[in-house]
Amino acid sequence: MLKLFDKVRAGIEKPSAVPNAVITNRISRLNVSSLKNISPDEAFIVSIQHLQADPLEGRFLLSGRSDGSILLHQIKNISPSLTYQCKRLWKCGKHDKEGHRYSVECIRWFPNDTGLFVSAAFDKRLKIWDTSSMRCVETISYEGKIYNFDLSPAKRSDNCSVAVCCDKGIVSVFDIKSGTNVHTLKHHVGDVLACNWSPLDEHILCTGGADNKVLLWDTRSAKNCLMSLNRSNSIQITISNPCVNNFTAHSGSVNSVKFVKNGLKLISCGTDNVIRLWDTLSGKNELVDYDDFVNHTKRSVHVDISRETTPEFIYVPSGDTVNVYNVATGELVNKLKGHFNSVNCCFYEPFQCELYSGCIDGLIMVWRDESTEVVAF
Amino acid sequence: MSKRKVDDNSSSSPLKKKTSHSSTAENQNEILPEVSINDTEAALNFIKQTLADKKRKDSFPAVIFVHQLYDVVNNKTIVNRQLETLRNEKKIVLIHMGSDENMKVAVFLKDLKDHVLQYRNVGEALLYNKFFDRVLTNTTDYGISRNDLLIKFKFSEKDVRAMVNAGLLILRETGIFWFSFPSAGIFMRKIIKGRQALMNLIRKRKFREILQIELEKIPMRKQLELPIRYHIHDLVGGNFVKCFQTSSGRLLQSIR
Repeated sequence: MLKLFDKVRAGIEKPSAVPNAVITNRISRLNVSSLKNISPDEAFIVSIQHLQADPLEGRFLLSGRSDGSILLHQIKNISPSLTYQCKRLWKCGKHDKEGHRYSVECIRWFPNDTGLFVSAAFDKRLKIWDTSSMRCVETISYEGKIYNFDLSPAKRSDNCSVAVCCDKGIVSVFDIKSGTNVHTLKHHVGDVLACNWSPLDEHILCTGGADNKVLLWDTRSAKNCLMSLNRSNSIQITISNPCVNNFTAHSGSVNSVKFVKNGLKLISCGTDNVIRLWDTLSGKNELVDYDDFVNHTKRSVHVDISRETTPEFIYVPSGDTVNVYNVATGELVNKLKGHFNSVNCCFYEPFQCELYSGCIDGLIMVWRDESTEVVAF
Repeated sequence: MSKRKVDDNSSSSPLKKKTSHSSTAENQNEILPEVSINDTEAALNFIKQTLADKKRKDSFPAVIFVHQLYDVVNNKTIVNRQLETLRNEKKIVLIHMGSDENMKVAVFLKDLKDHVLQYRNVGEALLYNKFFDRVLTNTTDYGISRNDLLIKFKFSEKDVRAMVNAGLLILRETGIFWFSFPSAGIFMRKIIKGRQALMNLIRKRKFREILQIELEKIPMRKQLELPIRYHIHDLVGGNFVKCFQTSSGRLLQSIR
């Protein structure tokens, strides 16, 4: 650290390297938080399917549960005391008029502000919620169960499209502004379990399905997918007729995909207990080996990446632990042990450098580095 | 009683011999760190040597499991990438064994060529040469389709059949062949048999663990048809046993 200060003073490193180094240092020492916790408020166990904190200031945490309820917690500690019990601000249960009937599989904030969030569930409905009145403002019905969806990062602030992954191989693109389905992407056979928009180009979408395939799409082209990723790196059959190829990315169903390194690379996790790193432009397998990964979930698994750290880290739920890998080298940096059952999702909250993970046992765990805080007071 | 006596004798004899063996054991220990370098080609050659140690006539060429390399080279990513470059340089051929993703075998193209030309039907040497020079050096995949063989490489149906008979191609799906090597079945039978024998031996030990040096001394000629070093690389690399470094060499512990 002192060396780094010297380097910054001498002009060898940029000043931005200091916060980077501090964040990296903090992240590498994540542990179960003893000061902050989110208590489960039900007497019975309800599995957490997905959770996400709001992208603006990391103050509100949304979580979707397998009984169809959606919960909103305040996670930012604004009181002077160190210990903090996260308050539940709002709940929409199964028996509420506007709520989901079955398991809420995915829930996401609108990327630009906290005025909106979107949720999807196994009751074949996608709901858009207004946070000022906490009401559902729009319900869209689909033909199949919804496993996952993703909101495009929307560089032009008003245009946000939602890619919705349904069963029977259908991915439909929904435009929030006009409130209609604008596109249906059909190539997968079987359930589509994962999708992610590229942060590099707002029209590039990646999907992964139960047919072991990872497909890259350009939503502007009406024809077909851009490419199907091939694990054995043999020559790509050109895009003119990708239907012919039966390249598979994994030997088990793909239940998580995520763009890393600003969209230049792509990570996919499969039920064959393998994580693969791909080059997005060429579609080549980077052949990085991520050790000690277990994945048996038939539904989608939500992974997350760290922000503003010098080696990029990825948080992957693996059995009852959360594994932290170095994206570039595949080195297992940390293994977060604490859950009692298999972990479904994790979310990295960049403002306070915390990790939230949701599990089948109904607990949301907070992982943070508290060694510095205790010393400071 | 007599049996017991024999047992006692056999158990005491290694103790007596220990002093003489210790020097060789040290030598063996020295070999291992020497090869733990980040060069996959060297690792391939190292494991190949263990196969060539015994003076046997095998009906299959010197093949190396990809997971055996993970035992020698510490970083799996490096192994995967270097194997890919070696394959692109046409030095090695990667072969899938069965539908299991992890059962991949690497063989030097030169070894495969020499073996086939030496032991197989000499009358078809021309055909085999054509196969090696044109097909294996022009594809970077685990298999090839029948159409490609017939149209792109201009083989006849009869040629394809001859190559299947020689064990160079194996029918995977309709119209798709996978590359293979002669007597792949015999090789797999030997490796699985040896693997089971060793695993049974380790499981019956106290705490399910054994020192590698001790394991290498146990006479298992009958159960193991391949050299024991080759099997140990297979067990450790294939995650059948856990491996701990101790002051007296590596300790192997069976998982589960």
